Parts: sequence; C-alpha cells; structure tokens
Amino acid sequence: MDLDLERLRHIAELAELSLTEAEEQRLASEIGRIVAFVAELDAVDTTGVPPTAHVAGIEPERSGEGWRADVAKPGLSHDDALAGAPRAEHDGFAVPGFVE
Amino acid sequence: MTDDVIAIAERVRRGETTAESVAEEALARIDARDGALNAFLTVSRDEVMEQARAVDAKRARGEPLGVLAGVPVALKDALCTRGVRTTAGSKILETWIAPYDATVVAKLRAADALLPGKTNMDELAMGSSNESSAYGPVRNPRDLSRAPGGSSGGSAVAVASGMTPAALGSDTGGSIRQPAAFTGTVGVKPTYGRVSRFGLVAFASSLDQIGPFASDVRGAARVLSVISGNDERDMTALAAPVDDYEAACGSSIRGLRVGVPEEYFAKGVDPEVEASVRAAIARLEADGCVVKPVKLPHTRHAVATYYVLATAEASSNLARFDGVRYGLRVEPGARDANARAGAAQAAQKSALRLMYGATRDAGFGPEVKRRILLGTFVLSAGYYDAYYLKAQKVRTLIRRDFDAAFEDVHAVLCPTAPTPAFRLGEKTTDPLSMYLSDVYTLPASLAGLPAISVPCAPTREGLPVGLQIIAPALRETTMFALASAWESASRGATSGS
Repeated sequence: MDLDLERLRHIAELAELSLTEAEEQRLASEIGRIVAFVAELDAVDTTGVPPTAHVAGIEPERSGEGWRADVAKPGLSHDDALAGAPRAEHDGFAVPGFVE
Repeated sequence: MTDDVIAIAERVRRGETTAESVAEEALARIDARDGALNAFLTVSRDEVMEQARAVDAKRARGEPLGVLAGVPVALKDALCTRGVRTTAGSKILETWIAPYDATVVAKLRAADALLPGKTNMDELAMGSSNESSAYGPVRNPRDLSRAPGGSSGGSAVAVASGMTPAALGSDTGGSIRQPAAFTGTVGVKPTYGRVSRFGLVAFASSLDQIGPFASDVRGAARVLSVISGNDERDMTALAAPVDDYEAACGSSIRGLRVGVPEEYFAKGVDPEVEASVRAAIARLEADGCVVKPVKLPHTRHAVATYYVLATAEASSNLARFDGVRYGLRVEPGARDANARAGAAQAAQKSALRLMYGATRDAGFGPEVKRRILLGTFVLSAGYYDAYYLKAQKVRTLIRRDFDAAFEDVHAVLCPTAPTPAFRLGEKTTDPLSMYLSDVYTLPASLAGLPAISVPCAPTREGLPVGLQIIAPALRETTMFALASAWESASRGATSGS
C-alpha cells in the first residue's frame, strides 16, 4: 500500500528534502511497500525484551567507559575547518537568511 | 601467489624490491585494468610515490620498517584522507577534500603502507551492488556483466583484479563480506568496536565497522591487526587488547565445535552455493572440527530489523549534509523553488531552508533519499514505538540467538550470500529484492559479531562463492584459525589436482 502523500510530504519536510511530484509518486509507492514489509516485526513476541541500542553495552554515564579525560587538545585549525565550506565570510560559515 | 600482503612486505623489508617499484607497479595495474572495472574514484599518484620513497629512505637509513612496509592498500572512499578527495560515492561530497585522516588511515601510514587511491562504493554505503554510486557501477572482474556486490565493491574489485593486494572497506549490513563473496576475495567485518570509526563517513553508527579485504586470509589478518585498537576519538572503540590475528592463522582447528544454522540453508539459497558451502564444512569436519546443528530462529526477521534501524540512524547521520560546512551547496532562485512540489509551502520557507532542500535534492541519489525518508518515518511521532523501538527489541532476540548458539559451538558456518553475483541491473528496479540479498550478513551485523567471508568452490559458471564464519565477540582468532584452515585445504585441493 502506498504511503499517504500528505504523510510523505510531512516526512520530506522533516528530512529537509525537496521532492519533485514524480519523486513523490514513486517514493510513496516504494516506501509504502517497504513499510508493509517491515510490519512483519509486529508478529514477533517481544514481551519483556529490552531494546538493544549498543551491542557492547557501553554505558559511559554509569561506568565511565568510553569517556576520555576532559583535557583540551589541539583540534582542527580554523583554516582547515573552513577550507571545505561552500561559502565562508568573516572567518565563519556564511548562510542565507533564516528568519522565517 | 607471491603478490600477497605478507610476501610484498617481506620482499621490501629484505630489500629484494623497493617500495617505489611496488607503487609503480600498482599504478600501472590500475591504469591497465581499471578502465573496464571503475573501481577507483581517485588515484593518488603523487602521494603514493612520495609515500613509497619515504619507506625506501627509511630502510636506507636502517630504521625498522612497519609490518605493511610497501604494501599498497586501497581505501573505500568513505574513509577520510587528509588532502585527498573523499566523496563517499555521492555528488554531495564530489569535490570535498578531507581535512584530516581517519584513524585507520593514520594507522596504515604509521605501518608504512602505500595508499594508491580511493575506491568506488554505493552512495554513502547504501546498496548491495555498487549501482547506487553517483560515479557509475563497479564491474565484477570475474564477469563484467555482473555486480561486484556492495557497498564496498570498489575495494573488493581492487583486490580481486590484483590491482592492490589489500583494501579497506566498511560493513554496516554486509558491505565487506558480500562483495568479498561475489569477487572471490577474503573480507573481514571485525567485532563492533574493534576498529575505530573516527573519520569514516557515517551511515548507521551502531552497525558501521571498518575492515580489510585481502587476497588471502593471513594478509587480511595482518591488515586487521594494524587497524584494530582503542581510540579516544571513537567512544565505541573497545579497550580490550588486540589479539595476534596472524598467529591464529594456521593454528589447530582440531576439536573446534562449529555450528551450522539450518535457517541459512532455507528457501532462497542457490543450490550451487549450498553445495559449495556444505562441501567446505565437510572438509573442516574431516580435518578435525566437530560439526553441530544450531538454531538461529530470528534470522528471518533480520532484514526488517536492519532496514528500520539502519535507515533511522542514517536519517539522523545524514542531517549533517546541509550545504553549510562542507560539500555541495545549491541556492535556488524563487522560480526553482516554486517548480518543486508544495510551492505554497516553499513560499513560506526561509532562504536557508530552501537552500537545505535544494542542496540535498541535488546532492543525494534515489536510494539515499529513499532511506532517509524511511528512517525519518520510523522515527517520527506516532511510529517510533511501533517500528524503531520494536526493531531494537527484535535486535536483542537476534543477539540472544547467537548467545545461545555460542554456548554450544565456537563458531557458526554458513553462506555469505544466498546467490553468486547477480547481474548489473537485475535488482535495481526493486529495492526490496536488493535488501533481501543481504539476509545472511545482517544477523552478525545486528549482533556486533566478527565475521569473515572466505572463497569456497565456485559455481559451474565460475562465479565465486563465499563461506561465512561468524565468531563470538572479540574471538577474531577463532574466525581466522578456521578461515585459514579452510583456505589451506582448498588451495591444497586445487594445486594437488
């Protein structure tokens, strides 16, 4: 079943993708099919089963594992950080207007 | 075979050849062969010659050489290389020069490896055939009409065609093992966390893992030993000491208990693939392994689980491609914006959001957009519990299947992929059929387990088949012992006949 077009447009908004009408039609059908396929998971009994977010079970908040010492070190230089920017002005990233 | 990782490093160390001549030869092979294969997106001619001369100078000064001295290693283009273009197979990074090295790249340099270039891949590692690359598909050197597998197809083909003896790829749901199987190379996905992901263009962070391809098992073991280890720049990197993978190659397999999961030989497996893999298992049994049936009943839910979790993580990771800090930027005129669907909405959007949309529309290909949208959907309000949280719970069940199996056996043996390499174009019109081709590699990814694909007997048509060996977390040594035992047995069988 196709994904509802209104829902697809809402998701595209959230994902900051601007789709053409042809893309919308195709994606509504493709994503609808994939969502119908993954719905098979409904049938799996997961009563009392905890979710897995991380396979190694690293929990930095509890064990401290994974954290490094909070000591400042040299990182990327300012010039290196800006080198890949499509537009840089006044030593910073330049963006178009964003007040809606 | 004298052009493998160990042989080259040894010849360079002994002074029987120079790193410079190894580098020249690698470049000559790329020039001669890659036109038909499209495995390389960038060839770093000047850089690799400079690295080679530095290795030779180091030897001339009498300094000790690294264990990969003079060994060419191709890099999947998802790995950041300082000063060299890093596209991840996407238009959105077409001209991006990475400002730093991935940890694995820095480790290869420190081991005196040569880095001749960056390999083609499915766009942002999303695909199983290399056909989603923005730079055209890679071709399988065993049959140019067939896919090399994906997403690390370029790296697999660099090794399969003898352009480089080793390469690095990344594996999220099978992206090293499946192309290794399709091209007849050795490919390793280490335990999740064994190798630092720092500097890997992220796809799905709870699954992504970097690993080697090589023309033989011992070569893969040496490369993995170089790139493994903890890294303070990746908090998921594991602190456990790195075992001696090379020493594990050739160690005894007598008495090892290996499990054969019937779920991996079910409906959908190609009969020739099944016969080849079962023959390899029978040979390991004859050589002293104890073969036992094991059950992995949640295998059939791996595809659905993976495509929920991986796309959810991808939709979040790929938010970074916004046209502001690096990569492509498209600033649409009002007319372009209105030509898009939802002109009324477009009129209310800020110039910044119109730029986001236009940039991502121009920069991402169809498979990436499909996955971002699916991932956004499963994370969106009202659907999170039903899809994302549910998939995380099923992921626990898939892990428990393996936990139970490993109480009984030291490793699990199965096919890497249900079929040999399919034809280019065969699955591109149906995303689901492409996803289903990953069914045998996804469970080990979801469980974070180390797994290797090693070639077994090819089909009658001569297409490669991969034997997959899955081991418990951080038991790469068991995986390498079995893989190298099978490799020796199969090479003995061919050379002796």
